[in-house]
Amino acid sequence: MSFADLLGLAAVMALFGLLLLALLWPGEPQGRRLLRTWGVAEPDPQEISTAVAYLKRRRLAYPWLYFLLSFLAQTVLGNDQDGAFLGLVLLTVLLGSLLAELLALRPARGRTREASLDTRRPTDLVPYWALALDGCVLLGAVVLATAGVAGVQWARGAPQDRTTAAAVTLLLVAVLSAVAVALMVLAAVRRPPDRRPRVDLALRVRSARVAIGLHVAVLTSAVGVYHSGVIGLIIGALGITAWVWITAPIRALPAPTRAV
Amino acid sequence: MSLRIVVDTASGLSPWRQVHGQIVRLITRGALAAGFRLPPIRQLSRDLALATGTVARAYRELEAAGWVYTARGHGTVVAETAGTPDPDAELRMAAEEFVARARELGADPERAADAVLAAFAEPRPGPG
Repeated sequence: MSFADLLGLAAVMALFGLLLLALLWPGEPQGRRLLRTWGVAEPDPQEISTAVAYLKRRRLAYPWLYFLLSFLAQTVLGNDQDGAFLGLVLLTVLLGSLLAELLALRPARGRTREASLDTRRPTDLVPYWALALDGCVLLGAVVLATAGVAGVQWARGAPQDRTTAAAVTLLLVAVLSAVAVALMVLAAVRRPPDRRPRVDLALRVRSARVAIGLHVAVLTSAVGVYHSGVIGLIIGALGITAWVWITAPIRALPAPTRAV
Repeated sequence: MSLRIVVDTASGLSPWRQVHGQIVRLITRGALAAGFRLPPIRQLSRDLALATGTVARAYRELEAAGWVYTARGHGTVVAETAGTPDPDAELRMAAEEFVARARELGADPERAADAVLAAFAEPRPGPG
């Protein structure tokens, strides 16, 4: 494929990203729904406004991320792109969220600064079972990819003539996505607090849980693409189910752990 | 209940004193019970955008006064014997905050003292 063709296809994906941005552009109803999903019953207008700004930060990068990632995918994968579209969508959402979390780490600069005396840890935002599930899926993907690179027959995916490059790609996706998600969860823990404690905690919980859920979906879809066939479809479907389960609405915000 | 402290970086009162004073007030009012673990110095300094040394000093002063103790593996924890305020220390902290505010308003010591005396002269509000 020529460079001009690559750019053209990437531009089409960027337009898709722009369309998605327009469709998903958040307003007050989306902000209110987000806060109710994450444990804030009856949010006030300022809390809703904060939630809307949070969503906008995450989605603004979609068009150019689609452009960049599809360009890279075309360049790296070439014609071997089974299931690449789903992977592209998931990776774009993941990286868009990562960028937004990193930008949110900018320290407070105003004259007056507030802080909560509650200690924040990743396990205050994400339940242990979700972290364990993510860890298991990551381990499985890494083992499969490593065995594929080593030429182990059962790990060669389906069809059996999967190239080593596909196994290397799976390994890279596993490792790089793990790094990205670890950064996202850490950023969700560490970012400066909002003055409104309810929306502050709700958005941290959402960021961390969506990151873990997305990671499970990215890994399982990558394994599904690698393996292809019926097994690949089942793995991918299980991953999407896990994502929905991890990011299911919560009834109340988690209580802080205060005692020794 | 969310336990929050607020630092005004332009108040004239050093940030570590503000952190120290507010934590002492929360302890004496019972909002921070014995055994409560304060956030790590790094977390509080990041959240308040202060140097870690500033928050570390506040924690050091709290520990020196017996309000908190540091336990390996548990961080900085509100002490069992905390909650017995030293009236003179409380008065000193209140005075420091008042002086910082008075300076902000451009008042000299005489005007500030007049304001204090006028406040003392006002009848105390009754219950209800």
